[in-house]
Formats: sequence, C-alpha cells, structure tokens
Amino acid sequence: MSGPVWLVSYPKSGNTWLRLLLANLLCRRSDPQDINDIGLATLSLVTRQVAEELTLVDTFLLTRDECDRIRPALMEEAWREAADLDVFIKLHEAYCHLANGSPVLGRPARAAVYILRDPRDVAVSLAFHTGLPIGRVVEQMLSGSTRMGGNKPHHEQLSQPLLDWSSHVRSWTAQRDVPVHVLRYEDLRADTAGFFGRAATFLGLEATPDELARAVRQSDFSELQRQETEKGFRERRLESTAPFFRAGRVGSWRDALTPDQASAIEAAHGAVMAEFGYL
Amino acid sequence: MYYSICGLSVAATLNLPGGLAVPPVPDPDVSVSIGEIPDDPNTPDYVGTAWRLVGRRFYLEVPGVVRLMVHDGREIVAQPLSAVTETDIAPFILSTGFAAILHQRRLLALHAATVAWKGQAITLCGPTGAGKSTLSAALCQAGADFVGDDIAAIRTDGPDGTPVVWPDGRQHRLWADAIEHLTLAERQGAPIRSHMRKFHVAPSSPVERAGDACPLAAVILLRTRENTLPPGPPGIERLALADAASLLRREVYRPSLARCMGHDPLLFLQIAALLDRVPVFRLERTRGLEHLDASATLVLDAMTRAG
Repeated sequence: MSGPVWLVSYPKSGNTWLRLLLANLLCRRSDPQDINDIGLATLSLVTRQVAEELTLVDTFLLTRDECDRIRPALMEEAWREAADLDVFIKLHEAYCHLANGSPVLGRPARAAVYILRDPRDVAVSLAFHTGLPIGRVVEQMLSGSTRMGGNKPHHEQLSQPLLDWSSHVRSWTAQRDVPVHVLRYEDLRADTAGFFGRAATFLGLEATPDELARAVRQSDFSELQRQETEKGFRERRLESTAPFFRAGRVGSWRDALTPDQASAIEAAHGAVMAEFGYL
Repeated sequence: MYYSICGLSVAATLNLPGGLAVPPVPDPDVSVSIGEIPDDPNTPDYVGTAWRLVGRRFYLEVPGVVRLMVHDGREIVAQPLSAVTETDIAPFILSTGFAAILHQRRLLALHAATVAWKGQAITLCGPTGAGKSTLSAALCQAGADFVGDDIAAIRTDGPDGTPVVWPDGRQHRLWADAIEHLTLAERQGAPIRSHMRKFHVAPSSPVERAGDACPLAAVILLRTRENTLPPGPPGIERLALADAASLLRREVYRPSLARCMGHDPLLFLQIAALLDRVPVFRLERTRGLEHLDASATLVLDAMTRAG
C-alpha cells in the first residue's frame, strides 16, 4: 500500500511524537532515529520554501485566499512523490474548504491519523512553546479565527486556519473525504504499544510485536529529551520558554491553569471534551 | 514602456512598478504584453505544480491571479484572472516570468541581491525570506551602490573571462520593519502588492547606467542559523571550491525550471567558470534585524580581505 498519509493534530498534541514512532518503526534500525534527521519520507505542504520550489511562485506575493488556492496543486505533488512509497505529511490545520466548496488540502490522502489531547493540557504546552502567556493561548483556542503561519517575513509557513479547538476536532472527525483514525494523546501515553499498534494497523503498516516494542522504546520521552538536551531540536521555536519535549505529562493543567482559565476552556469546548472523555 | 532587466531590453505594454525605465530601443530583446492565452493543444513535455512546459513555451497559472506564457526567451504574455489589476500581476512577470526568460536564454541567474563596492559587485544569495534585500539595503547605507534586488543575471563569457552581474532593474523591496530600522521611510514607494507590508524603496545610489554590468568580486551565501543553536552575532567563512560548487548550484533562481528545461549541464559549466574567478563566502546569522549592521561589516571586511 502506498500514497500520502496525513498526520494531523492541533499544535502541541503529540504529532511530532507520533511521527518519531512511525520513523522508528519503519526504519527498522537498532539505534533510535535522530530527532533532527528522521529517515521517514515526509513532505510539507505549508513550508514557504517548499511551496516556492514547487510552484515557482514567491508565496509572499499571494494573499491568504490566493495561498489557499495553490494548496491543491501542492497535494497533487505529494501524490506524485508517493507513487510507490508512503509519504507522511504533518498537518496542524483544520479541514477547511475553498470558496468553491472543494477542500483546501485538495485530493485526499489515502488515510489520516488525527491525534487529539485534552485542550487544557494543550494550552499549557502551547504557552511554553510559543512563549505567550497562558491567558493569551486560551483566548486563541477559543477563537474561531485563529491561524498558524502567515505572510510576515518571519513566517516560514503559509497561513493555515486552526479555528477554535472544538471546530478543529470536528472539522477532521466529521469530514468524509479521507478515512481517519482518531487517537487520543492520553491513550498513547498510557499504552503506547497498544494504541500506536492500532494506528499502524489502520495505516496498513505491518509490524510484529517486537518491532512495535522497539519503536516505542526508541521513541520514549526520556530518549527524545536526551537527544534534545544533547543537540537541540530544530522544531523548537526561538521564543519557546521550555524544551520542545518538555514534560509530556497528562493533567499538568491542574497545576498550571487558573480556575478561570480551566473553566473558560471547559465552557467553550465542553461538548467535544465530553465526547472524547475529557470531562 | 521600455525597461532594462537583467541586461535585456524589454518593451512592455503595461507598467512594471519598480522596474527601471529606459528610453525606447528599436529592437527589444523581450516583449511583455497583456493578452488572452489560449489552451495549448500540444502534449506537454513536463507538467509541474501549477506550471508546464510545451516545447519552447512555459505556462504558469496562479489561481485567481494570473496566467503567464513565456516563449523562447523573447516574449511574455500575461492574462489577468478575475478582477486583479496590472499592478497586481507585475510582480509575477518580474519574478517567475523572467526566470523562464533567463533559463530559455541559457543564462546563469542566481536568486540574489547585488550591490557594488568601489565598482565591484557583491552578490548576496539566499532563499525568499533569507534577508537578501534587507542586507543589501544595509550595505547601501554603508556606502555601497545598489545593483539588483532579487535576480543576479551573471555572464561569464566576456572577453577577459571576468564574470559580470547585470542589474535586474528593480528597486529595493523591503518589509516595513526593515524600512523603519534603516530609516528609509522617505524613499518608500508603493507596496509590492496591495495586501503586502513589503514596499518598493528607491535606492539612493543605483549603479548609474542601467544597462551596464558590474564585475563580480564576491558571492555571499546567506544562511539562517539553526534553531538548535543559541542566537548570537553573525559569522562569515570562505568556502572551499568543492563546497562552493555544490552549494552555489542550489542558489540558481528557480532551479527546478532550469532542470526541466535542460539547462543544468550548461549551468554546471557556467558555475565552474564563475568559481574560477570569484570567491564564495557563507554568512550565517540569526533571523531578524538585531545583527544587521554586524552582517554588513562582515561582508565588507571579507571583500577587503579577498582583495
């Protein structure tokens, strides 16, 4: 089986960890994958430089809507590259549509894994990652107009819609264009081999229990933290106030959010949180 | 309107904002016009992402903005889509349109800004967003002359073999924060496109005669320091020939276009001829404006030491 696979999540919900699990599983090496140089066929659909190389157009010249309209052509390129291998595409954006009703992402991947995490823990992690106050991050997670990337000189990524947290979850779980496997970060932490194994099976990746166990061991949080301490991590932002692989803890919001912040998230996202067992 | 772009004389039926206007010439190298672009019935030789090659024709479509057809290194036709203005489509003509013209003509073009220091060109290469324009504007404030903003068209086939850079005919194109940092507001012109916070800025010292080339004395590769390293002052090093050759290949303007047009083998020779005469440096810096002056100083020091 081959073709592009979307690995999707709201930011700071376990996407990078999932990608490292896949890299360690598929590369079948005795040493853990280098977090800065993973041997997994990947393609970014939102990196400005990649978009310019492929489309030949300086994407700074494009408005947000015009950027959205070149996205389907980039996905076609992913299908071309994935003619005879799995290409894994990391995405943080919500599943949205162009004005003409067709999906911004274009031709659907052959499959998608959607990983979600308790939004209260996401808020804590995102605050460390972006260097923004938690209150500001909570506001962003409540606002339907929140976006990632953009058209300023420091934006290395094209503008992408995140929507509010609930709409992000629903946009992916409700769409019917691509078969999607929904995975909770908390389940992956509690039983990594079991839940990762199910995701791998969904993607049609064959793996023995031993191979799964090796990948889990090689992607253990302590190993990722060890590598980041030693060599740093490319995806960590300069404005971050903690390492990228900070704690990975479930429930750290209890110590980090004020009661008002926690209840604001619960009030806005209660329905989706309850649906996925967070309330 | 007539323009001089990358050493080519250009006759255009539309205004090209930021382009360097020149007096009419009898037999221009390139014509640029607005027109309907019919579908090409022939089978494409190559289909790219939103672009295709059919024989000596290159087609590009930016959805909702513009279609371009570039033919044989001599002609660009632009078809505005929906309600965009001529001003909106000019930047696409001057960038991707001229990339196709230059590769069709088998010319070496680097993605680079260029300034001249005591009559010698310094070409600053880097991907979009690397800070080429900003550093070139800082060098101009330090006394350099402005040559080009985004494309360095280089010829290595002159009588004495010295590589020369042709001005791309553009003005500086700077983000609002760089204009403020360099106190260039007085010379700020229109935005590149109406939604952009990036503006044309008239150079105070363009190389006087637009058609004239400038001997190339140094190539600088701009690199952003890895996120894994702490921010700090910039550093510069001269590259060994073998490293310079492979790295410079990646600085070609729109390299996938060159490859698909069969320009690669000649580019290899053109780059070798350049490296035979010109030193290449790698300038590594942290993103942002904080160390801009230090970067400019390093570039000028490297020029002085290279003789």
